[in-house]
Amino acid sequence: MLFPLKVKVALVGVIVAGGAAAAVALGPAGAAVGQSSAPTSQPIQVQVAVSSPATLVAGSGGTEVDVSVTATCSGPDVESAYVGVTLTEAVDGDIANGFGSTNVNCTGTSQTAEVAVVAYSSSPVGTPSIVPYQDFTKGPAIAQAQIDGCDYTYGCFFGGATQVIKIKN
Amino acid sequence: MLLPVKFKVALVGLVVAAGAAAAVALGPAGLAVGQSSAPTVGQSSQTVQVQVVVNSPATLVAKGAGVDVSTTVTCSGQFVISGSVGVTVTEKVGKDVASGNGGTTFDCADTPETVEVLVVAEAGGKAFDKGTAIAQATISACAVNGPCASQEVQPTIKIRKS
Repeated sequence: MLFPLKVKVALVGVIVAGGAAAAVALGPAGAAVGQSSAPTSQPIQVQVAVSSPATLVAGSGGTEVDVSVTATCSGPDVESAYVGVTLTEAVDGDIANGFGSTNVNCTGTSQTAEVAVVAYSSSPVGTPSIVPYQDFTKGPAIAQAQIDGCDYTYGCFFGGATQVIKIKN
Repeated sequence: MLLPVKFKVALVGLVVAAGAAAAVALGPAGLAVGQSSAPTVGQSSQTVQVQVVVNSPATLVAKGAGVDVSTTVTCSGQFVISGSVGVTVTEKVGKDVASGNGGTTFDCADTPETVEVLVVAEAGGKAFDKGTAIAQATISACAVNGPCASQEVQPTIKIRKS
């Protein structure tokens, strides 16, 4: 079976396990703050930024936060890109952490998408319920976004952004 | 089964935060310069040199969800374009331990430059607080079609509120 997978990582680099550039600013994310950047020579262009504030989902008890992202992707044969968002918040000395993702169409123009970030949870032994490690609450949090755009010709290109945002009710 | 997977990773490579030399002291700390292996006779000299110093104090971000760590990096050598630095911070908070990691890439400019690294607390763990912590930093860089160099340091730093 032929499996001509080409995975080309951009010069920007990818930092694994929560790595991030430290462009940190509270409030609405500026255009340059924390945005990914990619050399214009790349055949596939991907860029993502996180907007502030994010919103606690009513009735979720703090287990879900809606995060707005602005994403741009373009390329000869790229139809859509994957966007993932990890949210980390300090709540009374503990860490609330969750993840959400969505797909965006690659039109070459900036698009806004909502990502539902759900708090990581566990199922304690002996109980049928799923319990979040720690609920989110209103306050500052670190948002880490990643965008992946792939096609069959050039492979995959990644971009990312890390920003401090606010979570509101 | 033929599986000609081509996996091309850029010069920067991946940062793996593990292991470290033991330079333990409050404030800025650095060790000997990390250096690539010597060139073979008959080849042109392609030496890569990297060095990282973790600056103290670091600063709390988002009420302890992360720590902003300032590093001073030096990266030099022929055909070296960029490097990467990863930082892991471990802090005793009360009876618990807060820990997290982060990293970034930078351009190699032959002169020392300040690179900020946002260290994010581990999921399900404890938040960082002001106090004393161990910062484990790893720097690495490679020349185009040539050698790589890396260095690890593990100084003790202070964390302060922003």
